[in-house]
Amino acid sequence: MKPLTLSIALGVLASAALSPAPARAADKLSVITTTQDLASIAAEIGGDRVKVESLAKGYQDPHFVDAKPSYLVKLRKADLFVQVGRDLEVGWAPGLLQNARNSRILPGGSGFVDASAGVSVLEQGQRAGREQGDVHPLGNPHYWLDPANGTVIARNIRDGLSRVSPGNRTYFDERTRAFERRLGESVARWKSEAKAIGLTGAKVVTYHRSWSYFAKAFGCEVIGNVEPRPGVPPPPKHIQSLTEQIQAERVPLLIVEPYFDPKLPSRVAQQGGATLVVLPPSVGAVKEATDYFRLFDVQLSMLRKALGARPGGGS
Amino acid sequence: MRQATRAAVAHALLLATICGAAASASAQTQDTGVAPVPQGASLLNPAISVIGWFQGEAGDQNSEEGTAAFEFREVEVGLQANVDPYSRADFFVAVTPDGVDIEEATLTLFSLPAGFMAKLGKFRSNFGKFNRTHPPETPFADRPLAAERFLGEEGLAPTGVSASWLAPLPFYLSLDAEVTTTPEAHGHDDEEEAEAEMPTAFEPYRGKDLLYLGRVSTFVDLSEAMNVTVGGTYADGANGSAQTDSLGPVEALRAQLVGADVTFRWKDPARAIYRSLLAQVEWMERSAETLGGPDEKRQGAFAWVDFQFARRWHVGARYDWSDALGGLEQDAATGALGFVTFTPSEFSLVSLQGRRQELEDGSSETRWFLKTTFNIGPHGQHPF
Repeated sequence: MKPLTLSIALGVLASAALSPAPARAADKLSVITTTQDLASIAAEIGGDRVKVESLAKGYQDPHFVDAKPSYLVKLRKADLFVQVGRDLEVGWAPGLLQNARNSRILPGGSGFVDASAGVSVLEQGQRAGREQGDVHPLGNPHYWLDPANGTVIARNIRDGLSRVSPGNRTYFDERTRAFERRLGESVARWKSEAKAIGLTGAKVVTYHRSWSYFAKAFGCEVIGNVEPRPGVPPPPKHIQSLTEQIQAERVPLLIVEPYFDPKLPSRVAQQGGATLVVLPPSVGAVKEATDYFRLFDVQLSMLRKALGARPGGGS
Repeated sequence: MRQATRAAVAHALLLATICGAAASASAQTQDTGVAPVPQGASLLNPAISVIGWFQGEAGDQNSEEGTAAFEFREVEVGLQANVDPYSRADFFVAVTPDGVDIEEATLTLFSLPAGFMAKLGKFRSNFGKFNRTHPPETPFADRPLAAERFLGEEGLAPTGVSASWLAPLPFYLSLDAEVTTTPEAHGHDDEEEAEAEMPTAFEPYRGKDLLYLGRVSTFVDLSEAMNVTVGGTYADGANGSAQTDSLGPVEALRAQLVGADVTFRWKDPARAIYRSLLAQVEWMERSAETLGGPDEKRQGAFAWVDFQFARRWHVGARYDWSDALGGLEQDAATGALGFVTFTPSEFSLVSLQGRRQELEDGSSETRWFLKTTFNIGPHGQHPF
C-alpha cells in the first residue's frame, strides 16, 4: 500500500515535469489586467486580436482586491498580464502570479507587463516607513490619472503584445499610433476644458493621496488630504485643522473616490464650505466611464458641474 | 540537548536578521532623513518580515501546568525570495517561550507545466483550511479544540513533498497530494513531558513512517460579493503503536483522518475596506487501528464567524466540539469563544477574547485573552 502510494505520488510529479504545455484553442490572445484602466488601453491596442479582462473593477480600491482562486483560472490561460506596478497591487497580485501555473506571465517572462515602466513617477524616493502610513516606497502608483501617461502605458502594452504575438507587431504598432494621436488631441481638449471650468489654478483637497498626477496634468494644487497618512483613518485634530484650512484658503473642491465612505469627507466639505465631488478614479468606477477617454470626459464634466454650482464658478 | 542547540542556532539567526535589518534601516535614514531607493545587492536580499504575538490571559486555570498571565507567545521571522525563475524559498522561524522551531522551510516550484506546482521541505499541511494559517495570523488567541486535538497544539506541519494540480476547467478545482514523514506531535526531547501531552491523530512508530494526504477543493463565486470554498481531505499515517510478535514489532498500526470544510465569504467590492463577513466550518473524523479490537473512531468540528463592521473593527465567535483522542474517554468537550478586534492599521491588531469550555470530566473553564500582534517588514499578500 505504502510503496504503491509513494509511486503514484512520484509518478504524478514526474509526469508534471515532462508534460508539454496544453494546446491553445483560442484564436484571440488572452490579456488579463489588474485594473479596468489598463484593460481599456489594452483593448485599444489589441483591437480584434485580443480578449481583455480586468481582475479588479473600477469601483474597487485597487490596493485591497481579494486574491480569489477564480482569478487563478483566468491567469492560468493568459498570454499577457498587465499590472499598474509601483507596489499598487502588492497585497494581491504577486501571490496570484506565483500560483497561476503560468510561467509566461511571471515577472521577467514574455507575457508580463509592468505598465509603469518609463513613467515619470511622482513622490518617489520620499521617506518610506510605516509611521507614514501605507506608503508606496516606489512612488505614487496612481499615474494613469495623468492622461499623458496613457501613451506610456499603451507603448508598454504594445511591446508586451508584440513579444507574445510577433506576427501581429505591425497591427499593434498601427493601433498604438492611432491611440496616441487620439489621446494627444483629447489631452489638448481636456486641458483647455480644465482652464475653462476653473479647475486649472484651483486649490483642492483630496481624501487619499491618489490625485497627484491628475492635479499635475490639469494644473490644480492639492493642498491637503483627509487621510494625512495613506491608509490610516484621520484623527479629529487633523480634521479640525483641515476644515479651517479649507475655509481660510477658500478651497472650492474636496475630491473623494467612490470606494471610500463619503460621510466624513462630506462633513469636512460642508463645514469648510467646499463642494464634495465623488470622482471616478478609474474606468468602470461609474457606469458612464466606459473607457479611458470617457473617464476624463466624465471627470471634467463632474468637476464643471461642481465648480459651476459655486458662486463665481466657471461656466 | 538537541533542542538547546537548535534554539541557540535559531537565536543567532534571529539576532543576525534583526541586526541586519536595523543596520539596513539605519543606512537608509542617514543625513537627509530621506530613504533612498534600494540599490544593488540589497535588491537581491530576501524579504524579511517579523510578526510579534504578545498575549495576556486571565480566568480559570484548571490544568496543572497553566500559562503565564502575560507572555510573549511568539516572534515569527519570515525570509522569502525567489531562488531562480522557477522556484521560491520561504522560511518561517518561530521563537516561543518553549524554544525555537522551524515553522516552515520550503522550496516551491511554481513554473511546472500542465497546471502543477510542487513544494518540498517542512510546511503546514493542507488538511482543511485552518491548519494552513500560521498561529499568530489566526483571529483567535487559542486553537479550536478539534484542530488542537487532531492536528497538534501548533497544527500539523510535517516534512516531505507536496504536489498541487489546478484542473484545466472553467472553474477552480485543485487537487493536492502530500507525502511526508509523520511528525512527532510535540517534539519534546523530555520523555516525561511528551507522555504528559495529549496524543494527536498521527504519531510515528518509527522515524520512516510516512503520512499520505490528498485534498480536493473548489471555489465558486456566488456573486461579485459572495463566494464559497469547499474542500475535502483524506490522510493516512501511523498512529504511534504497532502489531508485535515475539520477535518485536511487525507492522505499525495506521490511522485515517477525513475532513470536510466549507468557507463562505461576503465582501462588497465597492466597500471592501469597511464591511466583510467570513464563516467557516471544519469537521474531521479519525479512525485508528487498535491491537485486536475494532477501529477507534473519534470526531471533532468547529465553526466560526468573523464580521467586520467598520474599517478598524471586527467581532466574531467560534463554537468547538471534539472527542478526546486516546484513553477510554468518549465524552465530547465543547467550547465557545467570542472576540472583539481593533486594527489600528493593516499591520497591527488588539483583540479581547473570552472562552468557555465544558471539559470531559464535567468541569468547565472560563478564560479571557488579550491578543496583540504586530508585524514589520515588506507588505505581504493580504490573506484570503
